[in-house]
Amino acid sequence: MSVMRVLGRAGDRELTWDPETGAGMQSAKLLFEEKTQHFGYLAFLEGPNGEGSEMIRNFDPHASSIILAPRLVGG
Amino acid sequence: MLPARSRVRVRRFARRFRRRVSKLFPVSAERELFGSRVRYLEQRYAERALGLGSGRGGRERAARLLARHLKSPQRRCLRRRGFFIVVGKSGRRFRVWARRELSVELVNSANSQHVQKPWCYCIHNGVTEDGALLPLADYLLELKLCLEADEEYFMLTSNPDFIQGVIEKNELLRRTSASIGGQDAPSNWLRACN
Repeated sequence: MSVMRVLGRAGDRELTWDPETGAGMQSAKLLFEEKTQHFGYLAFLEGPNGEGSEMIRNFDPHASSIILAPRLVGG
Repeated sequence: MLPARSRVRVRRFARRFRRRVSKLFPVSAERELFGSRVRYLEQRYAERALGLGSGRGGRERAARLLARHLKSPQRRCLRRRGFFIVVGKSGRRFRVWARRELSVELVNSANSQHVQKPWCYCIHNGVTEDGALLPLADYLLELKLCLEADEEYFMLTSNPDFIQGVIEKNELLRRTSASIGGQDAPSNWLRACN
C-alpha cells in the first residue's frame, strides 16, 4: 500500500491507495492536485527508509510514500 | 559513604526501576524528541496563536513522524542541543534549529565570525491554507526534506542574513533567469515552483 501524508494543524493526515488495484488512487491524486496546484503545497517523494527524498510536481501512483507540506515563504 | 559494590547495586536497582516505570508510563514522542525549553516555548507559541495553534495530539503525531525521519544521532542531538544536522545535495551541512525564527543555519568552517554571528536563513512555512499553524515537528520535517531534496529551491526561497548568502542567491537567480530567458523569469519560476 502506498501512503500520502498531508501535514496540517493536527499533525499529518494519511491517505492510502493500492498501486496494483488502483483502489483509492483517484482520491489521492485529486487531493495531491488540489493541494499542490491551488494551495502551493510542496510534495516530497520519500526514498526507502526515509532517505533520499525528492521533490515532485506530479502525482506518482507507484510512489511508496509522499509527503505534502505547506509551501515555504522567505521571511 | 557507600562502598563501591553497594553503589553498583544501587545504580543497577535504579536503572531497573526506571525501566519498569517507563514501561508503565510510556514517554510521549514529543518529550523524547525535544528538550524541556523547546517544549515550553512551543506551548507558549501555540497559546499565543489565538486558537490557530496545534493541540497536544497534533504535536505528538507530528513528533512521531519527525522521529521516524531522523536517525538516532540526529534525534539525540535535537533532544540535547536543540538542533540536528542535515547534509544537502551539494555536501554542505545545515543546522536545523528547533525554533520558529531563523531555524536554518549554514555550518561553514570558513566563517570566521561564526562565534559572533551564525549564518542563518530566514524562512517560514508554518501556516496552512486555512491560516492554522503547523506543529514545530512538522515545520522542521519540511525544512529537512526540502534541504535534502532540492537545496537550490531552498536557497531561492529563503532570505539569508549574511552577505555571502545574498550573493549566492543573486547568482542563482541570475542563472535561473538566464536558463529560462526572460526579464522577470525568476519570479515566474518561483511562482511555478510554489
